Amino acid sequence: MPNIPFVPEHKLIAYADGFLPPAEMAQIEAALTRSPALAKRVARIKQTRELAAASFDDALAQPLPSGILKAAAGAGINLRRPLTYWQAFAAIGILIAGLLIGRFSVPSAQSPGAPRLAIAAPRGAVAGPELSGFLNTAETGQELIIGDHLPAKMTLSFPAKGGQACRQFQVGAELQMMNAVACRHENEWRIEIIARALEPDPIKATSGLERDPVNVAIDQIIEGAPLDATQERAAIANKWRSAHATSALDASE
Amino acid sequence: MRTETLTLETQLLRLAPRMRRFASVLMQGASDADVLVSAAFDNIWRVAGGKPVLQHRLDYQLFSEIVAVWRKDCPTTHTGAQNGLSPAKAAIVALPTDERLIIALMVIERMSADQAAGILAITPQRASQIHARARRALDLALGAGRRAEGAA
Repeated sequence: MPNIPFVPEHKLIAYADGFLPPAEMAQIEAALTRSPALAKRVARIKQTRELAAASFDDALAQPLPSGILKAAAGAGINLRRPLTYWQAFAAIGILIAGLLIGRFSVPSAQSPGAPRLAIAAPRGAVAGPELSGFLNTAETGQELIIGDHLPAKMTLSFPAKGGQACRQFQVGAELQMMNAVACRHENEWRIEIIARALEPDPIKATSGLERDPVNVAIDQIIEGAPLDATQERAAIANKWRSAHATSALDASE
Repeated sequence: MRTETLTLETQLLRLAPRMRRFASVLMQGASDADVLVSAAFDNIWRVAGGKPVLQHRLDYQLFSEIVAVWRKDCPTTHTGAQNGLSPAKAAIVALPTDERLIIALMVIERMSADQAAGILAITPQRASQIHARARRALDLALGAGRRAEGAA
C-alpha cells in the first residue's frame, strides 16, 4: 500500500481553490496521484465550489434598477437626506467634535473679521488620537480617511510666531467640508481654528488665495514661509518637536 | 500607455452587478438587496466627495460598506428555507450569517482569507476557520443533494 500523507480538509480546500503556496500545491499534487480517494475528494470540493460560486450569478445579468442608477450618480445623498446649510454645519461639527478631546467653543476673538461661522476654542481644543495621527504623519496634499469614514486632506505646514509648528487641513466632503489649523504644543496638537470651508470662488481659487477665516488666521500667526516638502518630511521624521528644530535641521544640511 | 479616467459614477456602475450579487447573498429579496447597494453607494459618494476612487480599492470599500450597512440597519436577512431556489443557493442561504458572508467573499468573489478578513474586520485565521466550516456544511448539503439525485 502506498504511503499517502494525511492532508487536512482545509488544505484540500485551499488546494482546490488555488490558494496554497507552490510548494504545498506540489505536495498535494503528488499525494493525489497516489490516492484516487483523495483525488475524488478534491474533485468533489471543486464541484461544490463551482456550484456555490455560480449560484447567485443571476444577479449579474439583471438590468440595474433606477434606485442604483441614481445612487451611482450621487443623487441619493441629496435626494434622501437634503441637508440645509445649518444641518450640514451641525453634522460636520458633531463629526469633528467626535475626533477631539477637550473644549470646543464658538468664536472668536482669535480671528477678527472672520464670518460668524468660524469656530475656535479659546485655548485650542486638543486633537484626539486619530486626528493626531493624521497631523503627525500626513504630508501636504495627502488624503486619508480618519475617524468614521471622514476624509481628511493636509493642505499646509508652517511655523508659527510662537515657534510651534502648525498644520492646515480639511476634513469632510462637499457641503460638509471644514477647514482647520492645528498647532503643536509640547506633545499634543491643539485646534486653533476651525471653520466651514467656503464655496470655491473660480477667481479666487485660481489665485490660491481664498480668503476664508482660516486663511485670515494663518496670515496672523505664520512666521516666515510655509514648510516645503523637504522641511515637512524632516518635521514628520522629527515628530514635530518644534518648527525651530526643523529650521535647525535644515541649517545643518 | 493609455490610462483611463473614470468618473465615480462609472466606477460604481461597473461594480454594481457584483455588489448586487453580494447583497443578494445577504438579503432575501432583490429589492432589499438593491436598497443595501444604494446605501453603500451613497456612503461612498459622501466619503469620496464625488471624486473617482482607486479602482482596486473601490470594490473592497464597497464590500465593506455593504457589510457595515447590513450589520447596522438590516437585522432581517434570509430566513432559511425558501421555495424555488437552486440547491446551491438554498444551501448558502441556510448557512449562519458569518459563514454566508465568508462564502460570498471567498467562494463567490474568490477572495483570499486575508482579503475577506479585511472586509469583515476579523483575523485571516478566523476567516479561514469560518471558511472551512462553511465549505464542509455546503459539501454536506450539496453532497446529500447529489446522492438523492443519484438514487432517483
